[in-house]
Amino acid sequence: MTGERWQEIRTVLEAALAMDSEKRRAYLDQVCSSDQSLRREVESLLAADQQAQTGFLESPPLARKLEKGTRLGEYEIVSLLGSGGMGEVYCARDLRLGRDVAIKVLPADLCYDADRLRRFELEARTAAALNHPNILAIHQLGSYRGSPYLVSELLHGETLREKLKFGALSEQQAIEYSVQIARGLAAAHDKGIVHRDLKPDNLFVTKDGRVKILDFGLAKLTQRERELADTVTIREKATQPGMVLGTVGYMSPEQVRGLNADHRADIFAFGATLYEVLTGRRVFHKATSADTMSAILQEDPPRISQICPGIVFGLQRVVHRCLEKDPERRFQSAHDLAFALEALSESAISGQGRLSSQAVKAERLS
Amino acid sequence: MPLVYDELRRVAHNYLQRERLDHTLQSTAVVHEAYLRLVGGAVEFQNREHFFAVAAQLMRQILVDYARRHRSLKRDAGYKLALDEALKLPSKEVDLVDLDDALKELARMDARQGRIVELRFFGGLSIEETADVLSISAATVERSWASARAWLYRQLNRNAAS
Repeated sequence: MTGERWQEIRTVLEAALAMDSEKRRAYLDQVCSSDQSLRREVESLLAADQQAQTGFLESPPLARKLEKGTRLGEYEIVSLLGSGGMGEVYCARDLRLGRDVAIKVLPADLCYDADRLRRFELEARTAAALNHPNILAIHQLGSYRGSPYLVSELLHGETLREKLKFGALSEQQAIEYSVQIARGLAAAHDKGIVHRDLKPDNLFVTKDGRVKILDFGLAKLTQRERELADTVTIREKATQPGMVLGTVGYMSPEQVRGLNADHRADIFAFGATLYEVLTGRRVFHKATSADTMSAILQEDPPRISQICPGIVFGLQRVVHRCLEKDPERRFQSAHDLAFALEALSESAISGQGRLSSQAVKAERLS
Repeated sequence: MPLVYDELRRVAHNYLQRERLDHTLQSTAVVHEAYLRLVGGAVEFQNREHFFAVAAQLMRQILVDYARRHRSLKRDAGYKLALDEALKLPSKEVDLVDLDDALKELARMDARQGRIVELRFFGGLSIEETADVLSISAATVERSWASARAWLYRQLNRNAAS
């Protein structure tokens, strides 16, 4: 088709599109009286327009952020809070209850599998039912133009990742946070929910010092893609710089091997997180994710005492026990873990923990 | 402007680099993120319009390349099924390679309509934003968009049928 011909056609087409069908016919009778091929073209394009109404080219291949004022059910978008691989998080207004909430919109491409999505919803619902102070409270699940979204309480503060930007946290703070994380994990594990992707990015510290575990159930959603990817690109993946798979460093050996991971995988990830909180270093961080994975499988993590000699011995022991390669040798439950940490927290307050660690040191020196 | 352009090129390059190594949808997530940071982020641009235009063009290039490579991979590889699943593109109904071809054809007939589709679909701009970028009225964008969309739809379905 020449450009000139297209201009003729589109002029008539655009005029016709603006009319109702009654007027349209009369209009086409009139303008196409001497050009039947023009009429055929316009009519075929009008038919195409009808079919294109079902969403053709409606949403861009990469969804763009939602504008302020966009309505998602009874929620109205206020602003974008942040974005990441698992979608964008918005601050929104719950118009019915008159409160502010957070909405996480997942990329539609993560959810093309309806079955998987249903399982994710089930898990998110179960997590929502947990109602635990250390787990992000989920209010609702919905879907906007094919992208599922999750409505939760709106938190003020920052992620543990952001808190670690300037290095390790104090021992006292590390214990306070980790007790809360362990309690949240224990509540979830009691209901048979495993996080599978625990890391500083998924832990949020509110302004008043409460830790909330985020994104229960989300890890499962991405899992299948990883599995599939593994079947075709395992060699290539092995040379990939570590940054895309940011989670690799917190994966348990059983997850790296692709074996079934139970709640003790979370305990491993917890250990890796606490290690980083205490030392400011990622425990198994290497140049490529392949090297990191191999370290997770084979290397003993550098002893905390070698990096930060001042840390209470008991706390070091807790971390290293979480990081055992064999799940059987880790803490067997988050309850036990929370209990051990609480004991440390009490002794830290009374000063005994530090004393005993110093005593150990003194003993070694003598 | 050169700075913004460099930034876009850098993101695209990083993206393609990673893409080559990791054929999963995680790459989509990466570009999604980069895109949001650039288009939706807090950065102030002296010339928003230009930025949008360049971003849309670049996104088109990146995504169509991505789709094209996956298509040839699918042809070559024996493990077609797994790839088909793993490499599924975010936009479900549209074959981006076919769309790109059709869009070139449309741009040959009407350059401005080609740009409108690029901005709206690949750049994700609204009617109003597209109008701003092209310095034309929103009503013109809306009309042009409607006829372009009908034509593209017909074109793609003809190709699919043949």
